[in-house]
Amino acid sequence: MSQTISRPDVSGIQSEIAKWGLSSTEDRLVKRMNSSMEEIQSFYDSMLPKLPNIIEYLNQFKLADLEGEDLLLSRAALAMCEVDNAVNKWKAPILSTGIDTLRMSKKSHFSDRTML
Amino acid sequence: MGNADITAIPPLGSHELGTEAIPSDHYSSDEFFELEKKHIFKKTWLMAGRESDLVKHGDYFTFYIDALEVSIIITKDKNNKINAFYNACTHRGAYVATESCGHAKFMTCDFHGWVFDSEGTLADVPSEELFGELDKSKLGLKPVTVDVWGGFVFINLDPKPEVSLEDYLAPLNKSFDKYLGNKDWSWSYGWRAEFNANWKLLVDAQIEGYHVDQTHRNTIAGAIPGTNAPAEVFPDSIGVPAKISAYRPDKMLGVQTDVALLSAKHGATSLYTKSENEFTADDGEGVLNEDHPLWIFDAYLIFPNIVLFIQKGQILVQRTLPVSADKCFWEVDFFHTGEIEDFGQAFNSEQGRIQIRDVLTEDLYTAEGIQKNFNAGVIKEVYINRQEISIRAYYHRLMSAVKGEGVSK
Repeated sequence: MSQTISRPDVSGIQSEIAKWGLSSTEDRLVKRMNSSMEEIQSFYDSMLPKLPNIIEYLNQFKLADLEGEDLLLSRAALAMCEVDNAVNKWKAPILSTGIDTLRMSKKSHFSDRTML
Repeated sequence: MGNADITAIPPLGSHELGTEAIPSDHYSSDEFFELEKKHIFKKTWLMAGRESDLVKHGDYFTFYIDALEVSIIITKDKNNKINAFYNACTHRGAYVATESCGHAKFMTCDFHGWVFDSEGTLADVPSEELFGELDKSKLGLKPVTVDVWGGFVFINLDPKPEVSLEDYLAPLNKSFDKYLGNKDWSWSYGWRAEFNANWKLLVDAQIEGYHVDQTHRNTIAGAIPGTNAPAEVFPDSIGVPAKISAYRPDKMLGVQTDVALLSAKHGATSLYTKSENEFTADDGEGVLNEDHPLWIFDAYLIFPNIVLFIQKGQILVQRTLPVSADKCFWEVDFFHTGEIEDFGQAFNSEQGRIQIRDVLTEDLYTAEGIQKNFNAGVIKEVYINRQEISIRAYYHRLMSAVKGEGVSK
């Protein structure tokens, strides 16, 4: 697909994108759990105004074609899903009324019985 | 629009199975656990895997029943038939398959190299002459009863189950078999965890709506009010004692965040935000309650250890497997139709998956504390309201099973 939507200007939040644009959900979870609320809020506040345009921009490409700075940007956008509850519901980096999320080990397929 | 008959939420439940308190010792007693092993895990149909993981001749996966220390191999043979065997070399008992899944038209025991084909036949014995007279035709892998329903592979350690899988799963009829068995479903992701709790406590946590408002006060409160999660029981069913359903409120309550609303433009992974772009789903007639504008999902309890969540275009399977009376493995798996191709879909998947994950951490939060109170004898009975009737139906089915009456209710 050809590019028809311009890349949003994220130059002012590049440091936040670099810090949170981690490659996996698990990495972003650990980042959230190990961050202060101030750090989480700073990332969220800087990303949120640009998030609709970022999603719209990235959505014009095939997922598999994302690379370089766009891949980093996509991962930072996904990190917004990780911090959303912390900012808007818990007002804390970690949910106090649930088990430790790290106890939930990611499976690789339905029949995966490997454990931790 | 505005038709009260269409938008009415079903009654929350009933007291048709009684109102008495339920004893708690079946969650903590070692003696009771031995009965469960004997009468349930050795006698009932157990979901072992997914048929789509057996595409071609030689594909296999294994299924381990921790409580019994039994490993099963499920294979696809050259005639496209699915077989199940005990994962035990008939020479001296070593595992024949050591991976959770793989591809091998011939499986070779790591110990001395006995070779079995995917029909379980003993195909080769190294230095066979050392055994003298060896009748290989009698030394195939020991078979296990297997059947497929809805694309899921079930095994039964009873060589001659008293009921067929199809009969066992009634009232989940052929419509469910067809919908769930659609080849387009593919495994997307899943999690697994170990708990110091009885395996049934983690089932209980998913089959009643009474807990929603309190347990999930920090996540989805308002998105699925407890009053919108009615229960229904199937007293005539052998393998499906109950179900609960979830409906949105007429007006979404609680916190609908900017991130959730952005996600909702691109898919329907999250159960807790009304999507602008729903999953597609073929053959859902008689399965999906799409006529109800507020319906989200139905969750069926499949005895003994499965909660099967069915919504349009998404299936969640929660399985628990006991290790002992107060220890178990819990897992949940997601199936979707269609591949994620663009970033919007990826964003929706990530957001929905994280929301469900965080909600599950709440569902799983209470079990270990409850277990300690049961173990200590502090709590000897529990009280069940009509919205929790699924718990009572589960208990009744459990009790009938451990009486040694086979599958009879």
